[in-house]
Amino acid sequence: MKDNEYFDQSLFNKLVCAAAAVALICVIIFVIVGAVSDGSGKPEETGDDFETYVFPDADEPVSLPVETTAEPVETTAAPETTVAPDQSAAETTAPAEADSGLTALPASSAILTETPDLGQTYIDSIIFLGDSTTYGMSAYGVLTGGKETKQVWTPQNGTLTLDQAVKKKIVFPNTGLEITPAEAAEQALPEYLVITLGVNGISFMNEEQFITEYTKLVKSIQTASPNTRIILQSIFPVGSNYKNLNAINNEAITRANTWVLKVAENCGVKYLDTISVLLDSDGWLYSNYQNGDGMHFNAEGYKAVLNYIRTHGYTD
Amino acid sequence: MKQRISTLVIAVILLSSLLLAGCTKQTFRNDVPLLELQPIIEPLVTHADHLDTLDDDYRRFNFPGTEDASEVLIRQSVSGTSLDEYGLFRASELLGADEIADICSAYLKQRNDAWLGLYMLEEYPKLRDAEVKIFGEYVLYMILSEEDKAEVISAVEAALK
Repeated sequence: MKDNEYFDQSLFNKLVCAAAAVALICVIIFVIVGAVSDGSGKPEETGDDFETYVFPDADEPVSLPVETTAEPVETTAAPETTVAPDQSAAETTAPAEADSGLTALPASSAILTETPDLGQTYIDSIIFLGDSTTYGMSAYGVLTGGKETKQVWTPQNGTLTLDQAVKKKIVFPNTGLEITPAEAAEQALPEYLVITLGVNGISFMNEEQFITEYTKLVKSIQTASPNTRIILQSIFPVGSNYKNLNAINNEAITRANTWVLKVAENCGVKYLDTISVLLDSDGWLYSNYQNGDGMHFNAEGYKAVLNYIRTHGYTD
Repeated sequence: MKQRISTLVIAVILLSSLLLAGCTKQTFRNDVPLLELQPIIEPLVTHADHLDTLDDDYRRFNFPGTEDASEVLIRQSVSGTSLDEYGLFRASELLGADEIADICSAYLKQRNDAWLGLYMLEEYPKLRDAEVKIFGEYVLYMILSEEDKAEVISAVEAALK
């Protein structure tokens, strides 16, 4: 046998078997790791830390982000609101005008303008429908009936987003049952209904979705209780210490309030620009109106809200 | 020579068998209406009594691109303090299951990004660990407890085999 014709068949067989074995191992690994795609996917963890904050004497705890890097709130404090239920609004000190450069509302006949103080009787005739920023009105006992007031309609879990608002059930205080806002309106037939909604949705809703969902809610209530005077209250501002300013901030809020005004105009209801007395000169919620989380009000803040409501009454 | 060829053939057969076994997907039925899956799923959902079906605007705004799905069913908690929610989509010739799954995943990411962390803290793990599953032409997303998800997945698999 010549040297150049020499061929080691056993070596060739070994090489083939080795290649097959390597390929076999690769396939096994591939299958185990996940060759079959099933579309599973989990959102990334946010990694946020949370602790629980409890509204004063509230039944349900409300959880808030841990303020690990709390920044001092250096915004201008609003003068204390001195209106007590039986006092005239003329005795209060008007807060300094805000010059925040935020979106101004266009002129509209839907906007409730200043009126003489309609007093506590007017406030007592109002039902307040909304999310956690409304729930605080019962938690802080700023309405007649205090913490047992029958004037606050909010869901059991304390939050309400516009895209669920028609079917999401509120705790109807008259019975304790969970029913939709329209069902509640049909039963209670309120003289006035102030709706404060939208802050939970502005981080992901566009104008079309916002207006569509809000309009559906208003129309469902109008159908259920045609004689109820509906007032769409502006979304409240947040403070500079709010933890999620990348998602919810006053620029987005004031933009969304122009949408709220559009809904009011389209549905033939009124708009209440309460935010106009809640902003300091830097465009933040007054520090002494909030409970420390940058979003929710304290008793002082709710008094300012109620003062504005009774001095911008729906009298048409 | 014969030995070499036989070795090669065996290697190819072995490799092919393994590849086929690894790549073969489980087949599922495609003739089950979503409304027939609903009564299979909901007895296994802890807070099913709080679920309701929102109108199509919810799908239109939160699941853009699913207009061509042949069927859609989204069930969401509207009472109580539960976050329980699930959605079923059925693919069509115009919209495949993989695309639907991507849209569902985007929805779950949006929900997570919009989570304020102020309420229902004990429910957040359901949203954080939400899952999307594909069963042939059917796509299921779940914002449920781990126990509920496991039972629902098993039940849907069994119903669609």
